[in-house]
Amino acid sequence: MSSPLLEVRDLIVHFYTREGVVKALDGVMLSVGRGEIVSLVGETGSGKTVTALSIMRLLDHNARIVRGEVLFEGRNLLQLSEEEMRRIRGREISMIFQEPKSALNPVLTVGFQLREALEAHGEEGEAALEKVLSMLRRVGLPDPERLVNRYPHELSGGMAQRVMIAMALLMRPKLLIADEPTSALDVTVQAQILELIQSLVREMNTSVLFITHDLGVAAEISDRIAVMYAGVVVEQGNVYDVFEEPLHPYTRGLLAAIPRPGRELMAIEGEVPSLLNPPSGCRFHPRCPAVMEVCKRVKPRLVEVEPGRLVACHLYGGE
Amino acid sequence: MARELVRVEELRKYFPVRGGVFHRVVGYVKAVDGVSFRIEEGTTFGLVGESGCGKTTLVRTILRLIEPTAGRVIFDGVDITALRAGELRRMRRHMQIVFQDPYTSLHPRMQVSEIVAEPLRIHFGVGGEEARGEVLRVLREVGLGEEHLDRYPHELSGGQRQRVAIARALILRPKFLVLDEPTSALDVSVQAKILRLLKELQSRYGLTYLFVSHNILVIEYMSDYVGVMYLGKLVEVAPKDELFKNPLHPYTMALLSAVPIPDPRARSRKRIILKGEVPSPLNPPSGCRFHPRCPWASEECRSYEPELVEVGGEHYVACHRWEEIPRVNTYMARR
Repeated sequence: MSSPLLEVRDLIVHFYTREGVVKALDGVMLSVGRGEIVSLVGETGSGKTVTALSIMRLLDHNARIVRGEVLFEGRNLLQLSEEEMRRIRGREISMIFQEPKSALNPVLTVGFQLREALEAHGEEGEAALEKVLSMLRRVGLPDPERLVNRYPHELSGGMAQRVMIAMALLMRPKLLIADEPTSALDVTVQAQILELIQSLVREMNTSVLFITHDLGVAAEISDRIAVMYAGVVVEQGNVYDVFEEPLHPYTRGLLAAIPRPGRELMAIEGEVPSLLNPPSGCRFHPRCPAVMEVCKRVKPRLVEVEPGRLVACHLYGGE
Repeated sequence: MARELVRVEELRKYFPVRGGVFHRVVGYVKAVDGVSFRIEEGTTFGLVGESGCGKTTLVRTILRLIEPTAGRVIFDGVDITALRAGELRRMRRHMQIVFQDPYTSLHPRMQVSEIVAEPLRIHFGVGGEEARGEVLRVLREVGLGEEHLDRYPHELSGGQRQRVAIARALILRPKFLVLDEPTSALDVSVQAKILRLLKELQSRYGLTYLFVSHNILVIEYMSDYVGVMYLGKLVEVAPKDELFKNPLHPYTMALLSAVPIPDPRARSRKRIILKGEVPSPLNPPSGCRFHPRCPWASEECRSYEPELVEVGGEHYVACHRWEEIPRVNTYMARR
């Protein structure tokens, strides 16, 4: 088996705040294969975005990467110089966000911003413009010749997200990180954008790390999914396996908490813990219906219970 | 048939748009444009629609938090659109609202006990120790307790704040509760708790709910009847099971088929991907407002606005072509 495109190993990230040290990531393990769409799912504060920003090396100044590796095609991104990293961003790995309009510059036209993105990587002139227009066409935007002269505020949410996708894919990156790209959109527009992302990345053979809190969206788009809780990837596997036979008690709880016809709606007891003072052992133990003595003391390792099927829970070994 | 508690008749809310040097009215945003439906006592009417469809304006107009431009709202036999301010205030204790965002709907400098007791003070002049017993009773009902009385909103989690908002709405023992996206700001595990709580409270007190959400899975879980709104109008109304099993309006079909289903096996289901986005309510399309996005629009749809008509068994639809167009039903795929 060839090595994955992206591999995050044992990533620990802390934030230094006035209230204390927030232990945001606690040994994140994650991989994305070539041409694969992997969803990173979890609730608010679980560390999905921090994981993405760590990969891109775009964390705030008060963050510290305590330990871990981010291997991209075998190279540890965490050890690259800022100059080397700039060449990776946009060209090799690009990112789209939940609020496309806040990611675009409001006083510059759409065309200017797209061409600027190309210029940053040494492509200019007529050829660059042609590339921009053809990309805008590919993301389904009508009349790109006129669109390039428009400003972000003149675009609807769905159009702005299409522009962002065009910009992100201009350089044909190997990896696209999409952070809740459809969460601010209405459901009928979300369906359009999900379909667009899927067809484009398949066509361009781009891998995707798709961050979402919506398990429905993850089920629609992913090949594999990774479930995060309180800074830890607790489960990872093929999307069919995880939805049909969730292993981790948190994944089970999360799936049972979605209203579905003909099923009882179940809640997870308790609240998400503060990461200033995370629980000892397994971070899910205070809320876990299957908690054992060992869970309070020992943090479970992410173990492979079947090929490609990983879980971090003492019910499945992992001591 | 159960007793009718709320009847909305041809309700309209137009917001004037001003422009030009003289600041004249140059047009109207027809946020709510002729909406009629009824809610039976003890049931939940779910109102679903995308952003800008007018659902929030509609429910606020129903409660007269916003004055309607035209139409009537009959609550418990009384036309509340005709009431004067004092009478309306007396009526208000029977109808309460819970808003979407528990971070902004609670006063940041008030303790939980004051927030929850406030309606008692306003409506009955009851405060202090007298109110405290009642506050504690209602806090316990929403799953909070004595330890929360002296807390401030910022000391509570999102779920706890929404419980406080529900307690405040319930303290006057209203008959009717408007829930405007009450769980949309919450994570799914917290949402599940609030939804279960709302169902429990409804069955205990026979409450009547108007439940607004853009989340179709939540609407399906909560509602007895569902109304689908598009650009200021109801396009389809039906009992919940009927609507989900047999959607007739093309917009409803598209909306249901676009919902991401948390089951990868449902991927193969038939879907209608609509073109474009919701147009501006300032200049809504002619004829049927949905026609520019509708795959089956005809000349008639461009010219004449369809009425919401009953097509059988409490199922209402506003579409000229509902009998001819293909039925796309994604319901079975969702199990």
